[in-house]
Amino acid sequence: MLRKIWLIICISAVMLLLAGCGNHEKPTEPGKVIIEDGAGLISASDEEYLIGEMEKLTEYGNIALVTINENYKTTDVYAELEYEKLFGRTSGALFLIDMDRREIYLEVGGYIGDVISSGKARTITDNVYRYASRGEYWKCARDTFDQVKTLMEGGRIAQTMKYVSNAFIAVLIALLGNFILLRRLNAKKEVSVAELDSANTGRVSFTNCKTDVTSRKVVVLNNSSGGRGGFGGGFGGGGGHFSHGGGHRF
Amino acid sequence: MVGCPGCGSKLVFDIKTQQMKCSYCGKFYLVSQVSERSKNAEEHTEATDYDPMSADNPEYFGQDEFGDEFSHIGAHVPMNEKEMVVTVFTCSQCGAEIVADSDEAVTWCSYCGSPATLRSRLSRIRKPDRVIPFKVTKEECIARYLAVARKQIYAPSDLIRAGKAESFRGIYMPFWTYEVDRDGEYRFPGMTVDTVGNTQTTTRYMASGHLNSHHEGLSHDASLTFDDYVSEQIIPFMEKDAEPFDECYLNGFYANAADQKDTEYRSKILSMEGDLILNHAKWQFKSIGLQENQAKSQLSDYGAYKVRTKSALEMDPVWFLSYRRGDRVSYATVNGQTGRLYADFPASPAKFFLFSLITAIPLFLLLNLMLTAAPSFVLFLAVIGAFVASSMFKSEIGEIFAKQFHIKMDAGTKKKMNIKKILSGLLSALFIGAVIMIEALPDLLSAGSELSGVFRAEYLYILVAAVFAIVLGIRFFKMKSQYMSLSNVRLNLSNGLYLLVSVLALVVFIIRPANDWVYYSIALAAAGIVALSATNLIHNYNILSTQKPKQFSRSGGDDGVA
Repeated sequence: MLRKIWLIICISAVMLLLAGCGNHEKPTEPGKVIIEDGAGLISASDEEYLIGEMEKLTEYGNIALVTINENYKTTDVYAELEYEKLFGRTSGALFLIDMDRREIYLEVGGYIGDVISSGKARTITDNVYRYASRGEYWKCARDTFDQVKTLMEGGRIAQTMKYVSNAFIAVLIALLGNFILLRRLNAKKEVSVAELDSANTGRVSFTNCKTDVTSRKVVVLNNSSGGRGGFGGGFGGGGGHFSHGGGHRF
Repeated sequence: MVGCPGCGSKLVFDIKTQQMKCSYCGKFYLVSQVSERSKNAEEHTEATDYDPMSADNPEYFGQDEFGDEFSHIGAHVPMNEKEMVVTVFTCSQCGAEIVADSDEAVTWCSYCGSPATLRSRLSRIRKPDRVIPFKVTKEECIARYLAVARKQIYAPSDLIRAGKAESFRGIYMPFWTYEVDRDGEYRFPGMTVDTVGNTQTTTRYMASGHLNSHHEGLSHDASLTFDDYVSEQIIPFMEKDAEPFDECYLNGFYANAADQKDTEYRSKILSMEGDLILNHAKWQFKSIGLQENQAKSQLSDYGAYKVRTKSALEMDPVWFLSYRRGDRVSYATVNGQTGRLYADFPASPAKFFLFSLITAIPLFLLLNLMLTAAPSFVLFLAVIGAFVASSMFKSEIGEIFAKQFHIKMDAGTKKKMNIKKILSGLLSALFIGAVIMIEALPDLLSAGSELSGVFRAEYLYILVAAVFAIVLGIRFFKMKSQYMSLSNVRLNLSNGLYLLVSVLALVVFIIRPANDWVYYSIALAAAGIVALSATNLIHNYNILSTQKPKQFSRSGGDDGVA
């Protein structure tokens, strides 16, 4: 039993490692820097400072900071659509501050998206959301891009809460799993009637057998046959999501 | 004591050769030879005690509660041949009684495991009619036990050590074995459903005729000391090996005296016999789709049949091991004839938590590869964990209740419950797996998940937490009224905490606070409750996997000792 569990864990780990491999190449041309401060959260001097910071990332793709006051979609959907509008299917990172839903979101794609997974994007927003809660939006954006840079350069960012959360989930699953295993290991098999029958001398005889039909009911089943044509078409190629990301409320 | 004809030393029954063996010179003798010699040389021993189950008790024979003819094999035998004088050892701790040779050194009690002082007295008891000699040797018994015990990774270490297994004691347990004859007219209903094309035909039948059956060797233990639940796990004994009773077979072993009347178990035996007939009927009436529940209830209508039962007292071989912790004892018993094993393995909380911790490490590493959980997801998992723990708790309480009040589910209900358990387990696993994949997919696929745009996990969290809160609320009140008689299972506290966590989580999911620590605090509280639950679950599991010996509730033993 334990060997099987280990085998499943190992196979899953290998599959996950393989699945996580990206395949985009580093852009040859430097990307552009865009700041769309629709919510008016960034002062002119801070914007200047931020542009300087964002330019450091352009070797990896396009970089954008977008702030909005109104949003009729969810923040992640808005970020994805905005990314497609601004960068198309090229490498990039878009940091969105959604004042309507009070949520920050980091959308990444292409070469940057290969390095920064949704989990990492979520960790970054997790690390910076407190600035947004305090109204220090430029600091929030600065730290976001700084952590993107660290990751793109192969560095590491703090992900304390990821480890704490995963440790918590692992302990939870382990406790419940071990209890199920304990119950299974000590499950009792009751004596079956067949076992009792084979152990004892017995004779059962049914004689003068008569079988009467007491009732018969015939029902015509109302199958709506012929109406189903199956699912046609399917997804017509291309498309899918190019970018992905992670966010946090503030 | 039966002495060796050669050297006069003690003769014991040797399982391998099925002969009597001299413990000193090693010579073998046929049981029949020794028995004959013993009878000739037997000295009359004055019995000092009177046993209510002995053959001279006039209330012991007669008609049973069903008014049927009811007789005992050997009832015609003269009284002095129906009795035997034995040395009964009484445990000063638990009051259990065990029969052994007067020269046998009984240094510990088989039932409570305590090395207590055992008082001995001579007693006259009913002589059994038959005996099934031991076929499984102590070595085979230990090997069987250790093969199972070594897989019990959570069991206390001293219970799975070979040294403990050496304490297995061979005991002849008294069993009432019954012969049941049944004669009468049966009426069994049946139903078949056939579908041809668009037409479904449901046909109901009534099969009738004459039923005549005879069963032998249906048995039930006749000792109050031997827990029925334990004894039912190691039956059946094969009647083909039964021999007329001879005290020689008991030499080298212990025995237990019968202290229950055969009429006590007659309804149980008839139910067992009904199951055996039903087992045949299932095949006989397969073509008409026999409706088993109705057929079983028709077989239970004893007015419709002439039922005759005949009982005999039989000594059956059992290897017995006890392990005591506090006022509870876990037993390991091996059928001394067939080798069928029943063993209780209580869990050591320290081992359980240690193994949980060891399992958590690879899980943690695996999760780090695939999951960066949002605080809301962590809380969501904590709520699921609390719900699963609550369901396990409920299931255990149900089992404890059934065990304590001897409630036995019929096969149909048990089957339905098992299907329900498997289905709910499967659905839960699918559900949890799906949720984890939804959370983890964007991490796994560089292009992101198709679901991310249309699916908001928070809505699912609210829905699930609301459903759990309602179910846990209903469970809290239902269990409170259903199991109010159970005092030792911390019912309200556990259920109250599960409910509190799910309600708090629901509120948090609705409010959606930005601060992570709100989620983490409640998740931490839930984790604490699940950890507490684990302690509780182990406590309850240990109640289920151990017995409270009936003797502990008896007056006697050293009750009067200050």
